[in-house]
Amino acid sequence: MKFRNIGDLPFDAFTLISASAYKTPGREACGVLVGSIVNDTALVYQARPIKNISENDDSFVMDPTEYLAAIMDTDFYSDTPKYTLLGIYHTHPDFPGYPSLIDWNAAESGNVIRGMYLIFTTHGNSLHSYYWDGDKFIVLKRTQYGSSAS
Amino acid sequence: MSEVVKAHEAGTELEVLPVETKPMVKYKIIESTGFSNNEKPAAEALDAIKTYVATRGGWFYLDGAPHLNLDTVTPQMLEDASMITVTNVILGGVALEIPKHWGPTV
Repeated sequence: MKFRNIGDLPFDAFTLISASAYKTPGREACGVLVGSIVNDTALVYQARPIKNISENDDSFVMDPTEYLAAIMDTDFYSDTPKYTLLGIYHTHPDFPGYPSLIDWNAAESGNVIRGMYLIFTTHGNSLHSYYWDGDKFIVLKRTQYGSSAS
Repeated sequence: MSEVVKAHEAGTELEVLPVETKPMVKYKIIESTGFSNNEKPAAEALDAIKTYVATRGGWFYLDGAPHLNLDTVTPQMLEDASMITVTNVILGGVALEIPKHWGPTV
């Protein structure tokens, strides 16, 4: 694992992610998380929203142009990165905050970033943090309205 | 005895023929764990990219713009591009059937 802990999300990043779940009701929102890793702890500096081009509301496919633009200053593209690409986030409108079967399939197929995997669910308005290690999702923590719940 | 040695001993000069070099193109592949930098002659690079996308799925970009049909891409287009990229497709959801190979048509 690249890190085992995550720091508290900056208020604006948490607000952006949680608000995106309600901005287009019933439709999933998604994006990437950039920051740095300090002493085994991932620190998110920015949540960068990416357009969902999926034809279905209850799934997401990141827009390729926006995805590439969002990672160009990170260690996933640049030889001299400004940020570490920590992982991705997406929302689960009216669905619990654990990875769905589709999320599992996508992860196992290499369709995610190995690292942080955040899901904001409108069920309980909570943010669930996982780490995809290439084999399984490891629970990091759950946050409700910015306060740590576990 | 090589032609070079024979020519040297005979005191004659060999004709120096221009060496034809294939232009190399650089391309980057981004996967779930990071990226790799690659460099091949344009035609070989295009073949490698087509094979990669066909077997693993992904988006193909020229200068940051996705190209959805690799059949329309030529080696010359790779030589003319300043940035060639392949990325994985980031997706998920609660009700999505993942195509076997998501991404450009090859």
